[in-house]
This record gives sequence, structure tokens and C-alpha cells, in this order.
Amino acid sequence: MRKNLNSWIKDLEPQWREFKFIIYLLKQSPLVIAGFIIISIFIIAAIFAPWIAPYGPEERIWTEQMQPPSFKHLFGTDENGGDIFSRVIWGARIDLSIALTVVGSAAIIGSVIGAISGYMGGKIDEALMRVTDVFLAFPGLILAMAIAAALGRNLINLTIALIVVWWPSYARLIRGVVLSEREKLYVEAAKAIGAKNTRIIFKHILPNAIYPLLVNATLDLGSVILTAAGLSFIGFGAGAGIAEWGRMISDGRNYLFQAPWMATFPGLAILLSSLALNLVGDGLRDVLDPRLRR
Amino acid sequence: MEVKLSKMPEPLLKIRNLKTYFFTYAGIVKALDGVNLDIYKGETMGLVGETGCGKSITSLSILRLIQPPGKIMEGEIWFKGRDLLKLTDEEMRKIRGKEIAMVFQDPATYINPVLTIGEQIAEVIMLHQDLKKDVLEMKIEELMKKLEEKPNEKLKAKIEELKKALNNPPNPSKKEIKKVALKKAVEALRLVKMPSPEKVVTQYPHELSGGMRQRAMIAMALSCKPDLIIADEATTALDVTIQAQILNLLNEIKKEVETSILIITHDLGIVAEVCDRVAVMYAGLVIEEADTFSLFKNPLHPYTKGLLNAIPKLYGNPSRLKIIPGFVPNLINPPSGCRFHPRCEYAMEICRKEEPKLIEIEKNHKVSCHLYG
Amino acid sequence: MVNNGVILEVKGLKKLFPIKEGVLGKIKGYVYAVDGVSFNLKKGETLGLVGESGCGKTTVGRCILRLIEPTEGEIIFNGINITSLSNSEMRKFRREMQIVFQDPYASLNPRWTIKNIIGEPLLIHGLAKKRELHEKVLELLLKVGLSEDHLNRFPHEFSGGQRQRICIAKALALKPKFIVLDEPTSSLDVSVQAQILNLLMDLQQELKLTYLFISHNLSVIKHVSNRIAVMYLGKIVELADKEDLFSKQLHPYTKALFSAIPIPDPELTRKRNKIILKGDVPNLINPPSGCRFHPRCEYAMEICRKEEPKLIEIEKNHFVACYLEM
Repeated sequence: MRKNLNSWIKDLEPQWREFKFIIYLLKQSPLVIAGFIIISIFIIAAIFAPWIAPYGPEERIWTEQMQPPSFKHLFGTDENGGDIFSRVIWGARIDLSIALTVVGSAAIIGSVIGAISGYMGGKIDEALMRVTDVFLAFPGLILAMAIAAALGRNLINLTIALIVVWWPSYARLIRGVVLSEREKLYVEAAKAIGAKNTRIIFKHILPNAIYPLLVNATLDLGSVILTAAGLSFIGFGAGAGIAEWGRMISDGRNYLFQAPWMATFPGLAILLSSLALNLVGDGLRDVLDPRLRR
Repeated sequence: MEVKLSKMPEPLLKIRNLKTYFFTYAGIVKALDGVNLDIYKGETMGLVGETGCGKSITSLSILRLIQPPGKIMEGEIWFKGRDLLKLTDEEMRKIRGKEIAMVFQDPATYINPVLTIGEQIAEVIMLHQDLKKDVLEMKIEELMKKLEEKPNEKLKAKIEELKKALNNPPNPSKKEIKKVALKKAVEALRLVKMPSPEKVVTQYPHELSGGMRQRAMIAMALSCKPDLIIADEATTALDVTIQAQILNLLNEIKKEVETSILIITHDLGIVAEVCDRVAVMYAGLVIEEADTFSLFKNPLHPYTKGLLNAIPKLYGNPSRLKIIPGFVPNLINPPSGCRFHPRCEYAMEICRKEEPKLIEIEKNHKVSCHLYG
Repeated sequence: MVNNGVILEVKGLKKLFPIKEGVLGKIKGYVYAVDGVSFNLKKGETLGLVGESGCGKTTVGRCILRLIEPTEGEIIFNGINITSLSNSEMRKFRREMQIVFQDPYASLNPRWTIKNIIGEPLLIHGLAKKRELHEKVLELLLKVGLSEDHLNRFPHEFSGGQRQRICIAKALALKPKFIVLDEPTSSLDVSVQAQILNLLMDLQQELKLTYLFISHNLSVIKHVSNRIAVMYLGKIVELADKEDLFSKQLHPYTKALFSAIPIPDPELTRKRNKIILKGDVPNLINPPSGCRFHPRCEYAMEICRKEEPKLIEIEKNHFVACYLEM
């Protein structure tokens, strides 16, 4: 048993060395470091919400409605007496997990479709790409709204709608990578030893698509947060009273002059989280550029 | 580190103790660590060595084209009485293309694909040459042709006027300059025996074959009549029969245009074919410098001997190639003393401790090896 | 099934690449990459295939392994016609015939470790389980002169010569009988090339391998081959035993090729009679009529323009396709 674990660790050693090199390169840019710190704060907030947030997400204190920020309520309270600070932390849970779910699912679905399309070529490629084109032809926001409206306005359906909107760009991306990798010599070498097509696509070509995928995914996380919050704002996502950033801005809109803190802090959360993800994504893109000299 | 010279005229290019380092993640790569080289007027000099020995870096250092993370740390490059490493960027730019020209390895990658051959050669000419007089001469020529067809007093007078202005030519328009430059480009192409040069001048690089592209690049290098042409693996990407054409061309040109050529290659066969003298590089240093016949007949440095032994011979009958044991050293931590000592079958105690100097052993044959001094 | 020691027969091999034009992909013409190549390979010998870029030698190598589908012709391996076998039937034969490519970096998957790269053929053909890989791959690494600490590294951590050794180890994994070596040392330094050539020759003796050695470098070809075939524009123009070819070249192109190669001996090279061919290697799309070499040949006759000469045995085992010899 011990021997197996040791050999398993040894097998991963080269990937670990590469990981350390990438971290070294990322540390050279102060913006990337800043972005990383900010998004880490949000991630920690999301994971440890039950322990960090002073109040529950739907906890209402009727005696302390619409109070400005104070020591007791760091971000103030809303019209129902809910603590904005806690609700922003609870909201991190929702928005970040939506982002992860959407990007993760879209990436997987899109990659499989794009890989098959790019590798097989011919009619399969044509067919799959035309389907992708149909989805891409719709303006994303409107398509998401249509799906959310059809399925019912809640967070789960919002997630589904966003996955449907987002997968085509991954299909396109992975198809492009596969098209260029397909012509490379190591693919021919794999055929020469008798590898089957599935093996070539999933074990040889796709690992070479990891880096562009990672960059795209990181940047998309930011975009999904913005879109999900935006859709919740106009009423297609979180229902009334749920501690989700977009919903909170929508609720706070009516009280913009009396209690500006209600909308401001959730808004800041959206801004900072997606900005941080963009900074990290940009940094990754520069570092993972294939022209990276080793 | 002074090098004893035999009684030869002052070299056209004199490199002394050139050090170029690269600052990377893994450490400082000492690509060139004290290179010494002499090139004389009108000769073809070969710079030969394997991957990583620093020969390309040497040519880039001469033209000061080294980019970060590389940096020329110290040394002197004397060219026509000036130390190139001490010139300003502006002065250096005047030298590149005009006094020292370079031909690179793969014409497909370094020629601009969206400009015609004529435009590219003309660009060099326009940058470096003052074409005012040439424009005027061209005008005079055109008018004289017209005069032959239809004699005319007015025309004659105009020609006289222009001829007087030859000593102080007026500033021509851009169009006229370009026209003259293109004409000169055609002449340059003729110099390299390019078939139908007037047509080639209007063609794009992708319309020419590899050999013709490289010919065009040699024409571009020659267009401003430089004193030194650096050919960095200029024939490596070409087929053998085309390479033979180009090497033949270089031999012919040398007789017509009095330019020195520095041929950088890993192919000792090319060196044997066209070079007057050769310098062998290993791990960032020149370890042997001699005239071609002496080098091949009597290689002094163990590395040179090993290199010559490792080449499969076209004539002759060995069954197993004699190899040089070991690997090319890491330039971040090169071996102490003589860099070749870990792989040398004649290595002595002193070879580990002290770096040998480049000393002239016989007439025109320098070597840096403790076996000889 | 082996008939008189012949392991590979290539008959009339042709490969034409269609040139498509326009949105609908209409076929405008063909690139005649390989245009009628035939030869036999005896077990244990090395056939050198030499020629310049565009002559089709690389395409021949790939067609034999069915990495590219031949347009016409037959490939008979160990007596069995493998030209039209399906992918699954072909898989069996892939164990017997392997290839080492020219660019050792590009032919290794940059995201795989050496252990997985060399071990993959064993996994695919069920010759080893994942846990046994370490041992079996180590065996192969030692055979090509590498060591245990190279197992868990990525290709980019190695030098050119080492990468080529890795490719050779991978080619040996399935214990093949026949290996196509496609310019295996062209991208390597002289001293590294010498090491790799020695290694290849040692392995050939030890494992009784048959090689098809493709190169544009005549000196390397001379060193490793028993017989040599010279190709020009998709056809074999001369085929002979090594000694015979080197003592007497019959085809004008072969003569020019020999005289064009720079020899590392200034006395020899500057005194010899150099044949400088005029013009460039012509277009593969519209090959010249008759004998493909006639536009550049100083001996070209009327018939050379009209009819293509066939590859005929002029002396014992010395074949030439040229009217001068008939």
C-alpha cells in the first residue's frame, strides 16, 4: 500500500514542478497577486460562511430596519432588518457556486462536442458546428432569459440557462485547438503504434488544450458572475428575499436614496469578484502562452 | 587577454573578450564567455560549432541585436577603427545593413511576405544611401534618350542645366527616390545571377523558391556594398543541390565585390568548400582558429579532432564512428578550467584548474589548449 | 510467411494529393508526391532512401506504414498484402513495423511523461499492465543509453539527442521486425548524430532489425546502408548496392548529388569536378514530361522529353532509369 502511494506521488512529480514554475511566473505581476488575494477572500467567505457571517441569510431583525453601517451591522441593514454584511457573505456562496457550476459544465460539454467535431471533421464537424452556430446566434442574455422564463424563475433554472448559453464558446475553442493539434507529429506517432481514435482525442490531444481552457474558464467565471447577478437583478434568477447579490441590488433599488448601502455593497461584491477573476485570468493567459520559453 | 598576431595587416573586425550572458529562471547562461576573433578584409571566415556553442549569439552580438534577457556584459568589437559596443543606437543603425549586413537561415521566416522583393531591397538602399545624385543622373539619362529620338534645342538646354546641378543636386521627390532604388535593386539581383531580375523585382517572396529567396536576400545584403556580410546558417534550410549553387555564387561574388564574409555553420563540409580561414567554437569560446587547409590537415584541439572523426565520411571505410564521450556542458555552470576537459581523452591536471589561452602555435594557427603551451 | 528472406515488397506505389479549390472544394489538380515506386527489402538489411526535399521519400515511408493511404500500388509485408486492411486488422501489423520520425520534439506528446510515452504501446497492445510499466520501460531506457531518473520527466527537459533516444526506445517497445527511420539524425549535431547512428547499428545487430533509412545526407546514408535508392520527384532514378553506387554513379542526377555534397576535406572538395545543376527543383503539380529530370540534365536528348525511362537493371543489382544507359 505504501509503495503504491509513493509511486503515485512520484508519477505526479513533473506536473508538480511545472505547477511551481507557473506560480513563480504569476508572482511576478502585482496585479495578479492582488486579484488572487481578492478572489481568495471571496472563496474563503463562501466556504466558511456559516462561521464567518454574524447573522443568517434570511435572518430579520424587525427593530433594526434600514440602519446605516455601524459596528453592529458593518454594511448596514435592509428594509426587513437583514444584515447586509452577512447577506453579502451568504451571497458569495450562491454566486460563486453558480459560476463554478456553469463554467464547469459548459466547459465539459463544450469540450467533448468540440473535440469530437474537430477530430472527426467532415460531416460530423459540419453538423455539430451548425448546431453550435445556432446557439451562438442568439444574444446570450436574451437566450438565458427565454430559457429561465420557460423553465421557471429560480436559481437552478438560471444555472441551466447559463450553461446552455455558455457551452458553444468552449466547443469553438476546443475545436480550434484540436484542429491544430490533430496535424501534429505526436498524433501521427500515436497512430503508428496503433492507438484508437478515442484514445488519441481524450488522452493525447485534450491534455494539450488544458491551458487555453483554463485561461478561458477563469475569465468566464467573472463574466458568469456578472451575468447571473444581472439576470437576478431583472428578476430571472433568485426569488424575493434570497441573499444573492443581483437580487439584493434589485431589492435595494427602491431605497437607493434612503439606504444606498443596500445596493452598494452587493454591487461592490460583484465588481470586485469579477475584476479579481479577470486579473488572474489575464495573468494566466500571459504566463501560459505557448511561446513560453522553458 | 592579448593575442599574438603574425605579420598580417590590421583586421577588418577584431573581437576581444566578448561576453554575452542571458539571465533566465534557471540561472545566468554564459552564452559567450570571452570570445576572440579576427576577420580580415576580403576573406571568407568560417565560424563553426555545434548547437549551443554560441556562434549565432556571436553574430547577433556583433550587430548588437541581443535582446533581454540577454546582455552584452563586456568586451570590445573593433570595426574599422571604432568599438561597436560603444556606439550609440543611432550610429549602430547606420552600420547595420550598410557596413555590416546579415543573411539569416530560413528565408521563408525572415522575409516580409507582404512586400515585393524589389520593395524590400529598395528599402535598404533608400535607408542607407543618399540618392539625390542618382535621381538627377537618372533624369539626365531619360532626357538624353528623348533627345536621341527627337533633337530639340529646348531639351538640350535643359540637359545642360541639369548637368550643372550635379555638384549640388536638388532634393528629389519620394517617388523618384523609389524609382532609382528599384533600379539599383535590379542591379543587385543581377549581381547574384538571378534569372530575369526585372521580373523578380515585382514578385512576392512566396512566388519564389527557397534558393531564389536566399539569392534575393544575398542581393539585399550586397545592395549597399557592405564591408562584411554575416551569413548565419544561410544554406542550412536549402536542398543540397541548391546549396551548392549558393556556395558557388558566394565564391564568385567574392572575386567581384571586395567584401568579407563570415559564414556561420555547423557543417564542416561547407567550411571546407568556401572558407579561407576557420574558427571553431565550443561552449561559448573560440578554441581553435586557423586557415582551412591547416585545420583539416592538422587539427590541434582535441574537440576539433573529435568533431572531424565523428562525421561519416563520404569516401573511406570506417565501420563505427568515433564519438566524443559525454554531453555539451551546461552554460550556467560550465566546467572549471578548460571547458572541454570532462570529455577530453588527453585531459591533464592543469586542464581542470586553468582556462587555456588562445595562442598562435604555428603560422596562422591558433589554439587554446594546454597540450600546446 | 517469408519468401526467400524478403520482409517487405513495395509494388508500384503511388500517392497523389488532390488540390482543392473554391468553396465547394473542386479538384484542380494533383501533387504527384510518389509516382510509381517499387523495391524489395531483405530481412536484416538497411535500405537507404536518399533524395532532396519534395522527392517523396518521406511519403514512401509513411505509406508503407499506412499512416498515409496509398493512392495506388501494393505493400506486402512478410508475404501478406497490407495495402487495404482495415484499421483493426492493421493494428496487429503495427507491432511488427515501427517508425522513428525526424523531429524528436514534435513526435513526443509535450504533456506526457517519458514513462507513459514509451509505455503506451505496451498498454495498447496488452503487453503490460500499468503497474508493470516502470520495470518494462526502464529496460528499454537502459537499452538506448538513458537512465532511471529520466522516467518521470517531460520531453522538453531533454536535449535533442536524448529525445531521439526516447523515440527509439518507444519504437523498440513492441519488438518490431522492421523500422522506418525518417531522417532520424537530421536535426541533431554532428557529435550527437554519431552517437545515435552507432546506437542504431548496434540495435540492428542485437535485435536483428530491418531498416528503411530515409535521409537527404549521403554520408550518413553511406554509413548505415547496405543498398541505396536515389529518388527524384516521386520516382526512384537509381538503385544499387552501396559499394557499386559509390564507385560508379550512372544517373546524371546521382552524379550531381554526389558532387554537390560538401566534403569536410578542402583538398578533395575544391579539386573535384563540380556539377552545378541549373534551375530549381521543379513543381510537383505539373511534373515535366518524359524523364522528370530532363530540364536540368546536361545530357538531355529528344527521347528524354517524350517518354519516361523505366528502372532497368544495367549491371548486377544496379538499376537505373535513364536513356543514357540503354
